[in-house]
Amino acid sequence: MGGNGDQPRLPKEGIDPDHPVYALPHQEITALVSKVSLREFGQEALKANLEDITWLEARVRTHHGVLETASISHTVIPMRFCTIYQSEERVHEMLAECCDGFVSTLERLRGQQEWGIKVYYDSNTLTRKVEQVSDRVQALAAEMELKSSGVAYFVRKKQEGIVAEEVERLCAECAQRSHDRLASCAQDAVINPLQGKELTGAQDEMILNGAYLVDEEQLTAFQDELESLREEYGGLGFSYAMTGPWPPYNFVRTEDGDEPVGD
Amino acid sequence: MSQWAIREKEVTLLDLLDRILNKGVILYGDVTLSVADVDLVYLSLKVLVTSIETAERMRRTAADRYASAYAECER
Repeated sequence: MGGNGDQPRLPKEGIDPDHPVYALPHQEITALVSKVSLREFGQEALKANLEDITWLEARVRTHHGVLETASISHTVIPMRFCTIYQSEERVHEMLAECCDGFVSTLERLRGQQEWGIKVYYDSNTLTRKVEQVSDRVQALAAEMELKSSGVAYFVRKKQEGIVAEEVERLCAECAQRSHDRLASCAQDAVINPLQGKELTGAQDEMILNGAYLVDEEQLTAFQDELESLREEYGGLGFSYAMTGPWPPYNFVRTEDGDEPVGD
Repeated sequence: MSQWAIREKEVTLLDLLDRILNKGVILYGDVTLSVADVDLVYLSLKVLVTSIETAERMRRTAADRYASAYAECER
């Protein structure tokens, strides 16, 4: 977290409900930490607890809550969940080592918010639209009228193939254009792996899972761009879900990419 | 703006997990989640979603059966 001056309003409970969140200042930055019991968070206990979704959800929501509360008044750098040190001393060592990197990251993130945009498509609507407007599909439909039922079967198969191809092409096009246009209103943008139906439990298939780092001053332009995408693609069966503002989870990677920093 | 944000806000567990387990600065703490730990969480989540869907499907099937049996009796 940036700034050593005003303390943010902090939630009473840390991810271990028995211990509060507190600030650990180091030069011009401040770490927000809370103590945890090794009975629950030691390497072995943690492994078992991670499989308990109810346990995990409560801890994850608290972790997020601390960041969300702090980011109201301060620029924050989210740490990966369950980064645990044996002592305050170890946290200070880490801060001393990483301070310069954190300061430049905080500088880059000041006044920025992360927004999530997910695009889904409704297969029925899009398929129907393609059948209505595609010349190739219309031509085959006309051909089918004239053929015997045996031949018509093969023509229908071909028609289905063409429709599927066109649906796929439109999905790719919508995902790419949506991302490009939203990214043009953002400071930074990333495309994340799609969340499959087996995880979302949703009806519609996801075709874009993007995160955008948007300057507070640019937010209106970003929202306008989203509205214009909705107008353009909504009728075809594409829908847009926006989430945020998020602490900048997606935009704090170190220069080297995924490599952890520190020892 | 705030109204906009609230209307669109849907902090689902999946969105949170995607960010909190996979994103953020990775430091080597004395305890750190491994890739295998994270994979395990997603596996549990899939099982959970599947079991909710199965339960929902079973509930619907049972409700349909009850409705048709009820209709039979009415007749």
